[in-house]
Amino acid sequence: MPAIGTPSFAGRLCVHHPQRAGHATCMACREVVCQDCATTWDGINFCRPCLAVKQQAADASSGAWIERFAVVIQLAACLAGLAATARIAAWSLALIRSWSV
Amino acid sequence: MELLDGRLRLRDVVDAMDEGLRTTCRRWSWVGVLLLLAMPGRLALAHLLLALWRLNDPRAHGDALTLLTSEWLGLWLIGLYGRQVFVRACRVADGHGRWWEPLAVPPPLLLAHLVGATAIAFLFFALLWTVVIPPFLLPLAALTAIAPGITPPAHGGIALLTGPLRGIARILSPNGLLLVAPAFAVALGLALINLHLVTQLGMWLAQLAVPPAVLANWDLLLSFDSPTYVTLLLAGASLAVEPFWLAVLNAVGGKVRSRSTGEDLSAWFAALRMEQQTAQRAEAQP
Repeated sequence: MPAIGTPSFAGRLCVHHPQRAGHATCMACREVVCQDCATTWDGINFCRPCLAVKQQAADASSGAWIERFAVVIQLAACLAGLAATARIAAWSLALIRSWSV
Repeated sequence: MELLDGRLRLRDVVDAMDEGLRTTCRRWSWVGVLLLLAMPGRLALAHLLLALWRLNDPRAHGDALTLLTSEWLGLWLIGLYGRQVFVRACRVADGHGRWWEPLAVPPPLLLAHLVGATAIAFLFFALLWTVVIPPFLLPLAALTAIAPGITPPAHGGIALLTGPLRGIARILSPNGLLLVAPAFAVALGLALINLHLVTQLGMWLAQLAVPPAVLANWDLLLSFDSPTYVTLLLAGASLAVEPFWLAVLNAVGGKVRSRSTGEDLSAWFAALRMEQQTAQRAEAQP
């Protein structure tokens, strides 16, 4: 009888490679996977497809953060640009007008 | 090799102009929206120029001028939204989508337009003292409304200046703008003459009904000696030409995009296949 908390994979096969023996359980999809398919991330086993999904989600969240930052930067640049344009327009128009006075 | 050449020829540009003019005539309600949204900015610009004209020593009134330019820029932003709405209306196929769809401009597109237009406006005024360069920057200001649709901002919002500028460069490089801009310079002159003739006709008709003494002041006001009249005439002519200018540039931009992405080839192939299928069906029928 196996000890509590230690899963037994005797006779169980990898869900992705039916010819290989089971080695670990993916903590996301709860399927048994072989040694090649199992990857430990932050001390937890994941199969490759679940890890890829997690990776994509992590990339997407950091990408969304960068997008939001870029939008804020663009808005700030636009406001600064508009203020600078108002100032330089007044200066340039006054200069052009002073030529004809 | 000719099919793979991305440059527009004179015939393509003439086709794009024809398409743009037809589109403007079909979207007359959106022309009204564009004019309504652009008019406050144009009148504010006219007001700024007239105030400048009246100042004897403009350098002594820097703060007042900055306030007037800030007011104009605030109203100019409304005009930018109007341009984006009109360009979107031009892109919607007849009878497709909901009627208000052009009004719902996606924020990334609006932001890309705003970034490009602000950069061009800054360059315009920074180089105003050169007198020669600013007229060449004016067409680029209109292209900033077209470019975000041709080169959509990557990843939703990360466009910064590169997105709009890349789109502008794509329209400029195949000679599209070089052929369209002179035609519209002539059109602006014609619009100016027509507007002047309309006001003179109005004056002539008024003289038939009202004693000449009453209209003496109006004669002075509606002549080329009056800076107010000349400024308003310029503002009116530019407003009259603007929808056609935007629609034609949009058509030129569409042609450039379809050339560079191969959309034109796929459309041509689809048309050929349809012709072939129609011929086969006709043969199969007894």
